This record gives sequence, C-alpha cells and structure tokens, in this order.
Amino acid sequence: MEAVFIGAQDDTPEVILNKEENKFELSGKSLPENVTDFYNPVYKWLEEYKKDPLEETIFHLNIEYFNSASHKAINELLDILAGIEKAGKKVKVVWHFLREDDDMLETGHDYKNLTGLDFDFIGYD
Amino acid sequence: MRIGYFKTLVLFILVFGSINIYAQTGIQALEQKLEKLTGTNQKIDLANVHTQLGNLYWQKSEFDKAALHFTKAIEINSELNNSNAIRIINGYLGLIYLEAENYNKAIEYFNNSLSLNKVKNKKQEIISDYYNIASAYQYLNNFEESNKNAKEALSLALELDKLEMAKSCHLLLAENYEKLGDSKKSSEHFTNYSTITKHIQSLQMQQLKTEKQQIEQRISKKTKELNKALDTLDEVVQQNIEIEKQKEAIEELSKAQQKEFEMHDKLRKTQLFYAGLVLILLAALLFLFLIQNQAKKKANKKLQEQNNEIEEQKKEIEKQRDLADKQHEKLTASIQYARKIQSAVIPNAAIIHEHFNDSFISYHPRDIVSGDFYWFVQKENLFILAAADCTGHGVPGAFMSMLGVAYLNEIINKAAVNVHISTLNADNILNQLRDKVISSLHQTEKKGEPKDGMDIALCIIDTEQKTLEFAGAYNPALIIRKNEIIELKGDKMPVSFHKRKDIPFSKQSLKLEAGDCIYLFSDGFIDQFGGPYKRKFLIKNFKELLLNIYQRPMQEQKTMIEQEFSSWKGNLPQVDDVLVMGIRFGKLDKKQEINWSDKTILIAEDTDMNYFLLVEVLKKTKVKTIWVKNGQEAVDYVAQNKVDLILMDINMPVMNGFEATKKIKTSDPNIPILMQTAINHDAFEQAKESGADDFIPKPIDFKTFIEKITKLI
Repeated sequence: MEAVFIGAQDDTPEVILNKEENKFELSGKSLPENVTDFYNPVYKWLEEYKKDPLEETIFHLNIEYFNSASHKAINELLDILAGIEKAGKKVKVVWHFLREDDDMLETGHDYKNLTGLDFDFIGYD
Repeated sequence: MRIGYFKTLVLFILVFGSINIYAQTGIQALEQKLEKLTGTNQKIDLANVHTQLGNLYWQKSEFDKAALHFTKAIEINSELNNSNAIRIINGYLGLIYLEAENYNKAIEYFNNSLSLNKVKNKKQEIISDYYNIASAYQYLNNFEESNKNAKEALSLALELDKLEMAKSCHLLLAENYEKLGDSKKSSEHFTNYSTITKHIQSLQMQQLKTEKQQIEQRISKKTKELNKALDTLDEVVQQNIEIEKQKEAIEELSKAQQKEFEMHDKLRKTQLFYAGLVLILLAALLFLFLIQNQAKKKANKKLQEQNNEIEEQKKEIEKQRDLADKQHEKLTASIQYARKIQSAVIPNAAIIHEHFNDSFISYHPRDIVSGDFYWFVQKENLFILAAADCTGHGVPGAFMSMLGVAYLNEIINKAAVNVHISTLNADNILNQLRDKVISSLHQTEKKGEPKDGMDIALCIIDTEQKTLEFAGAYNPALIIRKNEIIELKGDKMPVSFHKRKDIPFSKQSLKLEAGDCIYLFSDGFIDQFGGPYKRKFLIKNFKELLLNIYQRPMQEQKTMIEQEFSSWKGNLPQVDDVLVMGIRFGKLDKKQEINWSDKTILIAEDTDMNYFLLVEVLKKTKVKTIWVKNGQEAVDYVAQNKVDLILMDINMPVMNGFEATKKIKTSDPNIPILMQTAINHDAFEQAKESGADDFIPKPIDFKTFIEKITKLI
C-alpha cells in the first residue's frame, strides 16, 4: 500500500500513513476552512487499509489545536480504527497532549469512551 | 598599437588638459589654425592651439609671445572651467617670467599655481611652486622671503622623500644665509646639501649597478638564445644539404615520371574527382544551411505565434484577475452588509446592562462576520443567556449563528406562548436546539459529510429564586464566588449530529449569591496561540486571569481581558472568533419599580437607531414616547401638546438642539430638557447656555440616564 505523507500547513496537521513501517500519525493544528476536503483522502486511505491491516496498528495523535469541525473529523477517523479492531486486529491510539492542556487530555478521554479503543496518554511539557 | 597611442593621448589630455596633437605642427601651421578657430565656438581647440603656440614660442625663447598665448589659454580654459589646464599654465607662465627675468610677475604666477595646486593637493607641484617662488625672491635679493618659501618646499620635499628637490632647497637656503651673513646656518644647509648630493650619488650608483646587473643578465640570456639559434642554424644547414640531395633524387624521379604520362593523366582525373567531391560537399553544406535557415525562420515564426498566444493568455489572466478583484470587492461589500444583518439579529449588547448593570460582552470576530454569537432574552423573572461557537468562522460560521439565534428565539417564544416560560429548562433548550439543527441541515450518519453545528454554554438565571441553571455543549460556565471558581462543565457533545445525539443534554443548578460573577465564553480566547512558546492560552490560565480581576467592575474586566488577549496573541493571527461575557449577579437594579405610564417624553432624535435604543431602555418605565426628527418639529409639537420631558439631540437637520432648546425655553421655561451631548466641555457649556436643564454625555450610560430622567420628570 502506498504510503501517504501530508506536510503540515498553517491550518492543517501533518499526516503520515505508512503501513510498511507501521507508522500512523496525525500531528499539529487542524483548522482547515473545509474539513471534509482535508480529511476525506485520509478516511479513504484508512478504509482501504482496513481491508488488510497489520496485526497491530499504533496510531499517534498529537493535536495541538483543532476547531470544532476537526474535532468531529477526528472522531470519524477513530471510528474507522474502531472498525479495524472489530475485525479482530489490535489497534492502539497514542494520545499526545501538552501536560498543561487539561482540555486536550479530557478530549482524549472522551474519544476513548466514544470509540472504545485502547488509548495511551502521553503528556509532554 | 593604435590603442596604445590612443591611451597615451587620453593620458596626456588628463594630465595637461590639452590635446598635444599639434606638437609636430610648426608655429606657422598653428597660427593658421588659430586664425580659423578665432571667432568660432570651438573653445577647446582654441585653448589647445594657444597652449601649443605658447609652448613653441617658449622653446624659441620668445617670452612675450609665449606669455601672450598662455594668458589667452588661461582665459579660454577659465570659460571652460578646465581648472587643471589653468593650474599648469600658471606654472608655465611663472617659469617663462623667471626666464625673462621678470621676477615679480613670475612670483605672481607661481602663487596662482601654488594656490590651485593646494586645492588639488598636488604635493609635488606645490614643492616646485615654493621652490620657484624662493628662486625668484633670491633674484630680487629678498632673502627672507626666499628662505620662507624654500623652507616650505624643503619640509614638503623631505616629507615626500624628494631628495633632488630637498638638495636644491638646501643649496638655495645656504646661498641666502650667506648673503644674510648667517654663516652658521649657511654652512649647515651646505652640509645638508652635500650629504644629500652624496646620498643621491650613492643611490644612483646603486641604481646603475642594478641596471648593469640587469643588462648583464639580459645579455647572458640573449647569448644563450643566440647559441641556441646557432645550433638551430646548423641543423637548418644540414637539412638544406639533405633537401638538396632529395631534390636531385626528385629530379631523377620526375624524369622517370615524365615517361609515365598516362599515370599523370590518371592523377589529374583523380584530382578532378576530388575537386568535384569538394564542390558537391560545399553544395550540400549550402543546402543544409538553407534548410536550417528555413527551419530557424519557421521556429521564429512559431515562437512569435507562441509569444502572441502568451500575450493573449496574459491579457486573459489579467482580465480574470480584474474580475476576481471586482468579485472580491463585491464579496467583501456583501459580507460587510452581512455583518450588519448579523449584528441586527444578535441582541444589542447595551441591553444586557439594563438587566445587569455590572456586565460586559467582549466580542471579536476573526473575520468580518462571526461564527461566535451571544444571545439573551428576558422573560418575566427569567434571564436566559448563551454564548455559542459555531463550526467554522466567517461566512459559514455566520450562517450557522443566524440559524442558532433564530432557533433559540423560536424555542423560547414557543414555550412562552404555548405553555409557560417556567417550564423551560437549560438542558431542554439545548435538546430542542439540537433536534432543529440536525433536521434542518439534514444531517445523517454518512461519513465525510460536514457535521456543522455549534458548541454552546447556556444559563437560565432566575432573579427571584436566585438560581442559575446551566447546560452546555462542550463549553462550560465559570462562576467565581469569594475567590473560588465553580466550573460547570458542558456535556461532551455538540449541538449537531454526533454519536451521542440521542443522549439528552444534562443540566446543573446552582444557588446564586449576591456578587457572584458568571462568565460564558467561546474557546476563541483559550485556544489562541501566543506567548513566548506560541502555545494555546489554555483554560487554566484563563481561570487564573479571571480570578485576578473578578472583583473589579465588569467594564474594567472587559478591558483587561482584551488587553491580555492582544498581548498574548502578539503578532500571531487570531485563530478563531473570540467571545467572552461576564455578569455580576445581585447588583441588578431590581427594576426600581419605576412607573411613568402617565408621563410623556418627547424625543428629538434624527437617527433611527439611536431612537430605538432609547425607546428600548425606556420601555420598562412604561413612559409614553413621542418621536420628532429635528428641532423645528420639537418646537412645533411642544406648542400644541403637553410633554413632561424633552430628550434633545444636538446635531439635527432643519434646526439643531441648541436653537430648539432656546426657543422652547423662551415660550415655556418649565418643560425640563435633557440634552444628549458629546463628551466635551464646550458642548456642556453650550448645553447650559441654551437653557437645557441637564445633559447626558454620549454614549449614554443607561443607569445615569434613568437617574437623570427621574430627577427631572
């Protein structure tokens, strides 16, 4: 499967989707004017990946800021990952957050509750 | 060669400021040339000819003529502003007069030359001038002056290490001192003269030695070369002998060849063949060249076509750009107008003061229109207050916000009409709002579809029961009471389609105490990047900020919050719309039980907006309001009808407020008139002068406004 790399912009995060290296990452700020335009290719890739995923998928989320539309978009992304888990493969989400940012930690927990996925929380300073 | 000559020529022009091209020509030829040039405008040539003639006459010791031509040359060069030539010719004239034994004149010209050389800082020439002046003075037997100048020349000569010059100066000084009878100084200078002379001689010897060595080296080199050449010559001689031998052999051979004429013939044919081949090749080359040329022409043509095409494309793009500019302009204008609509739909911020006079709303859209909105409504003893944050900002956000405001109004009004307002709960309002948003936007489960909606914090404050009920979609409410923050967190779901869309919103209730500060806000402030590490402000710091300032009057808090925001943000762009609202509970002007239903206020105000604002504030007093749009109408109305108070604007068409007040006060001094003025001393004075009973500065503070009316009515 062809790896995807999208460089970070002012209003969109960096995205790495690389099955060969088991590297899945979304990091930075997410506030695109049109959220669906940005996230649709990501969903599409993940849906494709879902057909033949790795035994264990580790997805890193390191979000500094997102607008409310991106909040929902990431929820959808996690839903796809939850689908992979339902199909019998392991999925782990590593939630990176600024230790001071209580809201971001809470958001992570909320996502965990919503999706039922296995979450690791890693705070940084 | 030519270039070399030209260079020399240019150098010559640069140094002497004259073209020496006539140097070879005799005096006669020059005089003829002069005749031709005289009266013409060829000043440069004229100056050059004079200079040349001066030089030639000088060589022939015809000093008068020389001086005449040089003087002319100076004149013309002055017109030409050729300061270099003037400087040099002055020096020549000095020398000529020195030779002609006219020493006073000589001194005069040397002095001219000296001052010009000083300007140009020509040090060597300065030395010469001083020395020449010294010589002239010596001839005049003015030994003191001669010494003075000789010393100047000497010190400069030593400075520049000009030994010959220094030597001459010492000799001159020695002679002068001898004449003056100062034998000591004379012998001193003479000693110096001899020493330098010897030194120069030794230097010259050295120079000669070096030159001799160089010449010897050159000679030995040449000798070597010569020997080599001789060797080569030997070889050549040898070769010649051999060639001679070969010649003989060839001759023999040619004799043999003569016999073989056929062979020669064949050879000629071959030669012809080759010549033909060469011709064909040349023709082919020519042909190729022609083809290439043709191709080139074609290519050029194509290029031209492409250029034209590009030009056209450029024009097209420019056209499109202009169109885009126009569209942008139109769009901006249209958004500007949309802003008006949005601000008309969102409740007027001033009205919240009516209910909570210690309150503020800080509202800063990122773009022209905003995705954030605040909303409030008062129904009986309930005051419903909300701060919402729609997905997106700018136009899409603004659309959402309009929907939000409309739905909130609808929900409240429906409840007020159909059942009773007291049946409304905060959670209930959000549930209804969510249903409306989902159904009206036809939101479904489908992935990749926008799930637009809003985050919101909503409070219902019951001013009688002194309770607060809160429901939130993500957004919280903060209440500060006695240095403690009570955070009422919103539910983790938005007002839109969401996994938890079927879970009802929850509500939290709180008993309010007097002095409680209630804050509602969107995430624009806490999510703003800035500070030293360009990080988010975070709710933690926001709470801290509020704790630090909550005891201050709310308007002051507003200023401080805005200052903190802008200093945190610094040069970074504003990320999202920013909305913060704060109210202090318990200080509300419990309606003051004003009832002016039997009173009439005449409002003279030409701006509709201001009038409606005033009416809105006065509504709860139940006073009857009459609206006139200028001073004349006010005067006319009062003449016919009874009013209890006149609220007078100043700047109005037809008749302004001052004039109207004067007129009304002269006919009926008992009608109280309250004048709205700008905050400025002159306006106060003028208001008083015109006879107004009191004045209220704009923008109107509503509490003061009601107080002032109460006093007057």
